[in-house]
Amino acid sequence: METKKEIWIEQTLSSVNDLKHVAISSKLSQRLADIPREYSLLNQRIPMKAVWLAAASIALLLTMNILSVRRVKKQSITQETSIYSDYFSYTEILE
Amino acid sequence: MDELKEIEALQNGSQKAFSLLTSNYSAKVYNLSFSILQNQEDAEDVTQEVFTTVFLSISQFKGDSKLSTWMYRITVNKCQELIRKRSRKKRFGIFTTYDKMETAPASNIKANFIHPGIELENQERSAILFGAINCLPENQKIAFTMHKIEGIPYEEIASIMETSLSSVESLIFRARQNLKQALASYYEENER
Repeated sequence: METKKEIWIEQTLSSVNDLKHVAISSKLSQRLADIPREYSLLNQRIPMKAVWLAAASIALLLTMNILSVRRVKKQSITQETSIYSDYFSYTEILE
Repeated sequence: MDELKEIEALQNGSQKAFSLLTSNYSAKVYNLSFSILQNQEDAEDVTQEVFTTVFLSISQFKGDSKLSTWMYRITVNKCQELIRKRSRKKRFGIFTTYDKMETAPASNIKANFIHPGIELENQERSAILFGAINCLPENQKIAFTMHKIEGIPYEEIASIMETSLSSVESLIFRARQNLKQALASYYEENER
């Protein structure tokens, strides 16, 4: 024979048997309905064309910087060599 | 609209298909997360996250499982993330964890969750049961909730949890045993 405790446990375990599904609130329905619009807006805000344009501008700026740095370096080296050659030719004359 | 067509329409970004999807599945996703998390606001947030994930990653859905199974899997993962986040906050600095306990002590059962879908006469008892379910190890809690409360069949639970049918049977069996033990000690302490 089942004890009072066992009956209570079984009744507690079966207390959720006739559980009814809860309807979602209108606020949540609205939040869900807004998802496509929100994410489409996000995509519209930053079009891929603009992203590629920005990337190309950055790449162009970097290339120009690298090229100008190289040119400046080359110029300073040729300048330095000409100073040294002038100096040595001058000392040769003195000798 | 059959499922394949629905998926195709969703993958093409159809808003109508998405609206149909929300009307078909929002209540299911919400009720599952509400039963697992036992909190209305958290369940609403998880539901929104699930549908956002579905909207953004439907292109990656290959149709290996049913759409509902895939959505339930996302729901369970999101709920688990939230539970872990919550328990990390709670357990900070404490060495013993409830997950390692096989049975929850009766004093840990907090009978404070009243599910609005339960009849008035069963509300007090179901609150105790929900309190005991909350003390179960995470996988047992999820498997038991999906089967007992949401009525999802074992096969689908196995697919959602990406495990075997026998593992699900074992999880639910152990959950039931643990619940019986926890409820017995609760009865000893409070009802007698």
